[in-house]
Amino acid sequence: MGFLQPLFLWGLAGISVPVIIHLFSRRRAPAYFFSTLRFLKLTRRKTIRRQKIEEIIVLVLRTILVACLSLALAEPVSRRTLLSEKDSWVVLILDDSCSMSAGVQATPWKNLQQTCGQILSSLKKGTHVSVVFSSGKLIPFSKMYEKIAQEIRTSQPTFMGNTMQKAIDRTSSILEKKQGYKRVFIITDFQKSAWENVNAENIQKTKAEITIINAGEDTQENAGIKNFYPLPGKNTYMCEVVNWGKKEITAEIKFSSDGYEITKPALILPGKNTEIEINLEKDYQQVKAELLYSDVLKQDNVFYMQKEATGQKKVLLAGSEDTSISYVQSSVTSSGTISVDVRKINEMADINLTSYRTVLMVNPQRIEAPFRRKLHDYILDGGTLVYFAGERIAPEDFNSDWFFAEEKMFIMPSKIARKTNFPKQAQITYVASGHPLFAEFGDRIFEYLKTIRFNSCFSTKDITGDILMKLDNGYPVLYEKRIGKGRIFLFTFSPQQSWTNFQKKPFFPVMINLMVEYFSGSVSTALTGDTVVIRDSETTKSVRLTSPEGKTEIIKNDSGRQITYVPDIPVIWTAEFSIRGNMQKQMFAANVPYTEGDPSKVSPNDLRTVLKKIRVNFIPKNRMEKIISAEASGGDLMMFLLRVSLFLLIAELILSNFFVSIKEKGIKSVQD
Amino acid sequence: MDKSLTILDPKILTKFGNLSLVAKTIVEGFISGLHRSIHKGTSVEFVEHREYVRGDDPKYLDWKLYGRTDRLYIREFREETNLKAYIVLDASNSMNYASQPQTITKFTYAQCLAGCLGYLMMKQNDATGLVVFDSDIKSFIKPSSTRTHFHFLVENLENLKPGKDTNIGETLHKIANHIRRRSLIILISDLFDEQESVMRGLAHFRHKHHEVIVFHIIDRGEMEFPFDGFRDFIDMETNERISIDAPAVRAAYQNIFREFLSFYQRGCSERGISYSRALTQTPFDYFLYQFLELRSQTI
Repeated sequence: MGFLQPLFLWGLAGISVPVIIHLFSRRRAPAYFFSTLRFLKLTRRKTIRRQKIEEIIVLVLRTILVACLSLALAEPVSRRTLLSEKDSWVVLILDDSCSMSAGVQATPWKNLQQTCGQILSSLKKGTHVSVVFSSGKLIPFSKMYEKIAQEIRTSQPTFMGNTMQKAIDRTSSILEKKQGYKRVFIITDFQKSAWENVNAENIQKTKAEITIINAGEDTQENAGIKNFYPLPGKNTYMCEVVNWGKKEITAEIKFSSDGYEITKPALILPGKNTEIEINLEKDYQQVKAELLYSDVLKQDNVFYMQKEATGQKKVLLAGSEDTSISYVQSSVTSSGTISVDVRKINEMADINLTSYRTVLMVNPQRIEAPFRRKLHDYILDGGTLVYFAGERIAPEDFNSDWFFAEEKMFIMPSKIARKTNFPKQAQITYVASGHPLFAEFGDRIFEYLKTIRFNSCFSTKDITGDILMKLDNGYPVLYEKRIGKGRIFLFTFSPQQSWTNFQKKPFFPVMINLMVEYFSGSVSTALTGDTVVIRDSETTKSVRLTSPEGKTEIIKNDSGRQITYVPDIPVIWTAEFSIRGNMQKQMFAANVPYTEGDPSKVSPNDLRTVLKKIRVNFIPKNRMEKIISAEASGGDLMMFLLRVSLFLLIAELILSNFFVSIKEKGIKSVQD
Repeated sequence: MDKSLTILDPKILTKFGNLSLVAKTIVEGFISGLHRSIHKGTSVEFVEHREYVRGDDPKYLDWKLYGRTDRLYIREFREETNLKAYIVLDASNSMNYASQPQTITKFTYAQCLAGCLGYLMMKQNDATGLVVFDSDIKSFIKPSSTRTHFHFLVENLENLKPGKDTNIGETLHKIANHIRRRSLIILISDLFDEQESVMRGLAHFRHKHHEVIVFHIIDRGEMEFPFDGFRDFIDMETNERISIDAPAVRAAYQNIFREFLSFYQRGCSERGISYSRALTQTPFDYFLYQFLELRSQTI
């Protein structure tokens, strides 16, 4: 903001005039001798507050009136107008996430395209314009507005989740070194999940003026498939469906694979996950689940499942060098489909955890902070940690080490209090029989468990996970906790003779295998927009990626590391590469993040909290004239201020007369 | 306009200056305005005739009437006793208030009223005393019914000047303790003091079997609070100062003042005390009627 006639700003000193009048008028009250103040004191208490409020209202109105008049006469102009045309930089951040295509006729994306057209047509010639799509696409700074508009018109929303943070950071980097007036338009559907935890520090440094425009449609009913995965047991699968709306939905779900097709009706309750179990005729490696329901977003109604190829599963086993680790190792390898890397705790700092589907830790010694952080990230990204507590664990270390201060989160399912030796041997009397880990066995589970005895285990406290197994003396021995996309299984005992004979019983290897097979990497599923690691691709020169639609991409390996890929469409992808002359083939399913179907919106107030310290203008949907007024010239601003002044003047006159009339009414009533 | 009202208008009367003359003018005018006064000032007074019945004392037979009508009638008389009355006058500084320059102060009004009552009582052979107080008793004149006493009483009244603040409640207790014989107490005051305390003081008189009449003197300005604009109001008794926007507090003030007046009216009624309220513009005969009515009940 600048002023063409800054001398008039001295008029702001006039603000003091009404204040002085206010103070002076109070002291000039004439004295009057009255017989008694007894009654006046009582009335004064009742009326003094109202008088003060009236005085303050009139004073404030007069003060603002003087200020507005002074500012109007000083002829304010926007900073952009003051600067030369070559110094204006405008970035359009466009949300092209999957949710932008939600709608029947009007979609947020169509609103976005229309808004962009209006913004581009209202810009002054010479302004540099760049477009940053949330999916990563970029149109560099250019003055060819028509070409930019054409490109936006032909663009479509992606299948990816919302990565507004990346778009904001990218905008910050391209504006960082630009000098002059900077303005950023963010056009989005205000989807709540996209704006949670957005860090706006970088863009704050650019000192850009930010306008956020709501292109979203009103909240509408929507449902989608959240997850689809195989369950332990023959040909059994679980389909999780989420209903974001407020009404029950009756729909059919179609499961298809390799010419086979089956449909199952489902009642999907609002506000929570509905789990639908399905038996297919055989054990399919690839299955497409499809919710046959017409709602505002079609993309989240389809889910692709790809089972991980046999022989591809690899687990990391670490812990103390005693017999306990060998029991666990032999349990994992007993299936013949899983390979195990056994490492010592002090060797783990350099290990890349993304190569492993599960990390098993048996009675480990204290783990260094960097590796704990690595494990934390690994679990949040979908990894599984199976943890056996033993003598080497000091409860106080355990309880403090697994608390992550930054996230304010204790990731383990419970804290450990102390080791308890039982006076008489204990048996397992409770099992969470509905849990997929045990569901296959039904009531027979206790037949398998009846010979298991426990001599001791750790007592626990501050439980945040689910208890899966409990002893007859009340001590839980197995917990589970889901964090992010992954989960942690915590055994409160060490698989050693002095603690229990569990590790020697046939159910132990079955249980460990189920943990590794079905909860960690039994399926190879990724999300569109996420980075997928092509395993064992360190030594190959290139990887060929193909989709069923015939989309092909070749990624060369120049770094000698594992190749990564970001799938952009929801299909089953095939990665092919050769290692030492042998052709390798990996398949993975990519799906739209189910949160894209969430129609809940973030409020402008919440956004202000996220974008703290940044001046933000909010433009509601279909209020484009506000954008134009935001681009208004100095003359318009002056007229606006003059209008405000006129309004204040009228308001002041009306209010003053109103207050006086109240007083006069009192006088007249007495005279009558 | 009624002739008597014009004559008894306080605003006109107070211009004479001489309180004795003013009192005489008012009372004589008031008495002449009555159609028939039963208060002749004699100790034994004929009232009416009635037919003779067996057992009546023959000395009261009216023989002249018998001569004219040939029927026997008995003459009936009523004997009057002398009344002792105390005029209790509030001379606190709040009484020195007049809301308009052309109106008289509450105190001047009270002086005139006291003078009138004194004259009227002297004419009826009633013994009249005067007690003047502000925060304490300032003067105490014992009752007497002589003309000389009346002049002494008027001279005292004329020399009075309102001064200090008020302590009506306490003072009434003191006066009640001074007066032993059953009397008529006439309190002339604006009653601007702690209400419960004043009412207890008045109840003390009743407890000692005195008849009490309260003349509550109010200025119109005090009742209606007709002031305009923002003013610094200064208490005439304490010099305390309050800045107030008068129109803004008017309605609330009037409500509180109404409550104050009704408190005394109700309180006096409950305790058998005669209560008369008047503005300083009210003609004096209003009070003289009140007084005579109460006197007739008292005797």
